[in-house]
Amino acid sequence: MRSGPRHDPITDELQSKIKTLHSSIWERRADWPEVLDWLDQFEDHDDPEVDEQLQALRLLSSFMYFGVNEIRALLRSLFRDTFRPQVAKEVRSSLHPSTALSTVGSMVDAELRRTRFVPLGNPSESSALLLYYFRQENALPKDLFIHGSEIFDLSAIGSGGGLKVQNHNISRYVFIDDLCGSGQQGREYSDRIVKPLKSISPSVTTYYYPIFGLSDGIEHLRTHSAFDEVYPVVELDPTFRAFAPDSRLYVEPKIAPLRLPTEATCRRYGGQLIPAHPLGYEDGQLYIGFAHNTPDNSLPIFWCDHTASRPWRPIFRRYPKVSW
Amino acid sequence: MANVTPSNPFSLTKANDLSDDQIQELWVDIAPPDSPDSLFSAGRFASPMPTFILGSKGSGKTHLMRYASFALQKKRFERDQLSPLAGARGDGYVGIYTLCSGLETGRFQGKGQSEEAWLEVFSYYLELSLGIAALAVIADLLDGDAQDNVEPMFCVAVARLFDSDPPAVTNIGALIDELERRRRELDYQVNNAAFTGELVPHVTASRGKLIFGIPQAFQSSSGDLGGFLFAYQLDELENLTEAQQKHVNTLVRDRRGPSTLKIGARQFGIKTHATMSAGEENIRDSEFEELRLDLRFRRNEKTYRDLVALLVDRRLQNFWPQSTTGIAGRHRRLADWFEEPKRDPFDPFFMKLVKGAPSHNRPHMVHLRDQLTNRLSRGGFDGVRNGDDVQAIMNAIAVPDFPLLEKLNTFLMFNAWANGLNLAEMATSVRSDSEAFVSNKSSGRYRQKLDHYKSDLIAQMFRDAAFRNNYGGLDEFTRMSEGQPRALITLLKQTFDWATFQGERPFEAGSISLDAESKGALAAADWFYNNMRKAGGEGQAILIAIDRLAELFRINRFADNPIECSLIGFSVSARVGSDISQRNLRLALDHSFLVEILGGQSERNSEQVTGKFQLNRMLVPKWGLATGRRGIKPLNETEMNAIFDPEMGETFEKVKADWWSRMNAPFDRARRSAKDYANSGDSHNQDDLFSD
Repeated sequence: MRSGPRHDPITDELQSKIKTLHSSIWERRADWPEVLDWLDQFEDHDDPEVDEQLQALRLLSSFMYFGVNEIRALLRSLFRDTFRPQVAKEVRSSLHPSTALSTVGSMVDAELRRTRFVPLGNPSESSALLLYYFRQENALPKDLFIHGSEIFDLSAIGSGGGLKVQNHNISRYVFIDDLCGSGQQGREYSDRIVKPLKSISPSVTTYYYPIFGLSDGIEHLRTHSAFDEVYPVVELDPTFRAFAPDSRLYVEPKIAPLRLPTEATCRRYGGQLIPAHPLGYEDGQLYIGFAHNTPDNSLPIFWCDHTASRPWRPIFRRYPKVSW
Repeated sequence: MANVTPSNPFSLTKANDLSDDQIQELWVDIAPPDSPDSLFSAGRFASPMPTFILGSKGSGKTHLMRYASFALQKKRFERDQLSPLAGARGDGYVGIYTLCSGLETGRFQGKGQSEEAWLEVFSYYLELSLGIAALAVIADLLDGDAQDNVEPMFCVAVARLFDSDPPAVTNIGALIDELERRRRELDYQVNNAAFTGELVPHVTASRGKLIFGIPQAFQSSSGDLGGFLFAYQLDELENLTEAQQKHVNTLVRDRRGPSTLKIGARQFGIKTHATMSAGEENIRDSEFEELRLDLRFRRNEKTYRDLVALLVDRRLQNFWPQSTTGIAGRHRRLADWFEEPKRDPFDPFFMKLVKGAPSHNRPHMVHLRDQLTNRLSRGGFDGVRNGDDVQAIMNAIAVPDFPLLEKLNTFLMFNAWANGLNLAEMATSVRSDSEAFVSNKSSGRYRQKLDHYKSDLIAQMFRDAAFRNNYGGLDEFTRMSEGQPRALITLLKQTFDWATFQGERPFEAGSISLDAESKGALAAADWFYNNMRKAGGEGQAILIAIDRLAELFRINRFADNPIECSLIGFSVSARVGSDISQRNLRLALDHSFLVEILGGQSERNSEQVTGKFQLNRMLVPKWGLATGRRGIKPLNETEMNAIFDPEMGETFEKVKADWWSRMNAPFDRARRSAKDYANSGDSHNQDDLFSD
């Protein structure tokens, strides 16, 4: 265990960094006893080059945690800097360039009233919680929010009628999510909800706005889904993948040689925890967590718990979707 | 008290950040307020003689002045069910507190206006500001019938103080409004002077007229309003320019009526004592008195220790009640909450430090043996001719059960070597002294050497074991804070943070671990050090000098044969060093990176004034140095310049190499003449440790 009076400048520096993160951004999560308890699951070694505990500690010191305040700020940005300007752009494109700004403004407001914000997934999942914050932060009326099932009117289906939209007056549907990893979940949702919607109501515009999105996943959705517009507030390019050749964690020449050994360590433990996805769902390799949950695209060594195939003490626990 | 419970009882470190209630609640004194020994009476607020309350950053000036201010007096009067007037008479004064930084004095310069014009504007601005503050206090002093009877007459008297446009008002509220209006008008002129190119203030009162006239007018308004002073408390005078300070000095000199001035400033923030009264200088104890807070604390260690214990206790009572109410805390001494570093040579801890290794495998023994063996290859020396002699020495000085004593023995051998003594004989002598000490803990010379060098020897053992150097214990923290209560609070704040992060329950259960204390001390040192980075070029020069000084002290601390024990101090003659070096030394003192050593700091030696200085002990954890100063190293011209002149990097490297070779085996430099030095008054090799 890396504790006690031994003075190791690297450990000291990392511990100091984690202490600062713990008392600020991490909202007092992961205090040192928890960190030690977590580290204890890795092998330690006198040689820092092969010391798994040091590798894990270094990774942890780079963990990107987004607390409630940060998530709320990003949701403000999602509306103010992403969605509203997009609507304004669309409104303006249909108007004469000389139209007064006040006219554009009132038309944008009218369009917003014909917009519905929809959580991506089940009402018990995180995106529903995000929509609650989203509404508060942007001071939006409650009736602009619906669940995915409320898009359609199913009443006629049993009596020989087809699928209809519930409100013909709606011109825009905005689907909000916390993270787009591989894009697979978004694509499934698109197939299940957006495609049928577009087939019966081709004129509506659909938007997929995750707070965070991996570039590959975003690109995948842009080309393989029915969403008209796919745009994350924060795009995570491949350098955000922990062990990518150009990973931003191992840029420093002194640290760079640790990339492959650390990957091997994470793969070894990850393989015991989530054999199919040792470095996170669809090889996500992320080191990101939110106040409400840790996404499964992050490295399993951070979030796996006793429910994994090997019992594990997580440092940023994930609350999994339980199947009954 | 504020109702919010902080997560750290020491998180508020600056008196400026405290509310009035917190100032009152957190105030501690070493004696009752009416006792001449108390801090409060040292401020001499009820004395007509103006007082400069000086001290380094964090020495408690603002806390003292705010505690003495009318806002706090009023709370105490209410508590004691006294009317404000009766309370003021009881205290003998009312304190009119003003922060100089609040005057935004930087505005009163440049913008195409002459210095004289700005000085007049500043003078009038201060007149209005202090006048308003005095009127606000007077409004609080008067109540009920007294107010109705006195107000009109008082307002007429105040109106007479003006040279033109006397305010035509009959109550104090309206008078304050009018003065505030005039101040706003002036603010507007001052703020826009850069754009308008004009500064045409309508100065309606002369210097001192309102400041001294308003209290006089008040007490003349009725026979029963006297019996106390109006003490204008100007805090943070260092924020005023030299010319502005000169104006304040003139007020100090021309003080009249029932008014006085109590001025708070950083120790080195007083730029001048000159006045505008025909260039006369104010003289201490003639025109003003001086209270130097941290000096007072540093002169009287016991008083300071008592004060900080009270201060910490009060913090805990207010912000961490569980420390005294919990089962663990009840009847517990404050110092018991802190784990103390191990110093007893018989403590089993030292065996752990060498990992239980047998004597011949312990790092200090291996080092001595290697050095002696290496020396053999260059020819033997007195008492050591071959490997057998080396082994005999090693066997003689081994103390298998007490590694710290064994470490001392190796040090004594290195010392004998540096002094050219016969090492075989020395080993025999060391062995017998060591055995005597183990059997009867005698207090002879062996013990004396142990006591003197213990801190350095333990530090070396820690380094050999790759352990973090320990700092801890309330006594050590108190010593490190150098008479600055805020420094102690900062140390405790950082320690508390580390302790809770590491899962401890400080002041609730157990003791704060040495590990948390040491990390807290290091974090506080870093904070103190990094603050200086903000001080621009001057700050850089200080940091370079302090780094160099600490580097030399570190060479000494970890040397085979340190020239001084627990070295963090130096002395230097006032004639030594270039202008740049002396300036940077002064700057380091101004910013409290260095502290002047009291007790003979101005020794006269062949008509030269020699100053003695030491590193501020808040900083020492940064370099693993000692907190208990013992030795003082005199600096010669070359060393002084190499340390304090940033341009002398190359010379510094030479000085460093010289220090190193002088203190480490094979001690070549120790017996060589100081030929590299132009001014070689630097032969301060430590004498034979056993020649008393």
